[in-house]
Amino acid sequence: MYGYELSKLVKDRTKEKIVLTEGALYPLLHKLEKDNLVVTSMETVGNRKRKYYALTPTGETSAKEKRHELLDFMKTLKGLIEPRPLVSCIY
Amino acid sequence: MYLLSQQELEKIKNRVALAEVHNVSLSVDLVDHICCMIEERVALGMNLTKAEDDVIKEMGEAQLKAIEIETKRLTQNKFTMKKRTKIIGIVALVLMLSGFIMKQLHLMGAGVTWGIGVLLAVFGFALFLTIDNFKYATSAQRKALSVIGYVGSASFILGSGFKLLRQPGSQYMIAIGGVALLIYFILNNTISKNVERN
Repeated sequence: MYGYELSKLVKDRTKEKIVLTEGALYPLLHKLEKDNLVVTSMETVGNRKRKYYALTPTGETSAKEKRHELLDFMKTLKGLIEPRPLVSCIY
Repeated sequence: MYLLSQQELEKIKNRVALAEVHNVSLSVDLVDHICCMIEERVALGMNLTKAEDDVIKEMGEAQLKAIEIETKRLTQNKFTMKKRTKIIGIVALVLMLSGFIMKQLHLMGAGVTWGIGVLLAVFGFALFLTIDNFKYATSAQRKALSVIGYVGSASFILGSGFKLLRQPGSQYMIAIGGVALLIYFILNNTISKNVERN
């Protein structure tokens, strides 16, 4: 997936509620590349070069962990905001 | 889908170059991103000149430069010394300084204090610093460099320690250490320059 495609995907999936700007996207992609979490491959599209980003095996493991952490955090927040009604036992 | 012509592409490349984006890899991303933005607008029926103007307004020189600065900030090596390494280093320095002063004043125990200080500096401070650096390094070059740095500093400090205690062979250790440190600084400078260029 290339940078523009990635930002468009986020925009479409979140119905434009989250916009990944170039200023946030590219520094982060380069940081992930430096940390060996993503690899890049260059392709020629028309008359220009395009860089495609893909997760490395380490990146995939890390992404799974982060996803799990985020889902867990969201579940905790949901429990905090929408607490279940307490069941009281009266004998 | 509409693709920009070579002439239009050159115009965008020049714009990115004018913004002084020196990172080659980043400029490939930015040129492609700007092209995609223009092409999408044109595909939606916008006039090419209007699409270019809109995108240039959105991604001006200042914005492009800011992206490069942020990329540099995020990808820079921010190695910080661990607390235990710092403490060991300070203790070693205090012992070495005390030993040196005591030696000058011909006080008893100067040699022992100096010796412990030197050993702590070499097998405590420098060793821990190298281990931390080694773990932190992302490339094989950086890892090798941290080992060369350790060999150099350890030989130099041990050689100096032995020299003060008038032990034989100290001059060879200082020489080996000096050469290793020289290699370390040259390679470090070369690697840093290559990273900046990329």
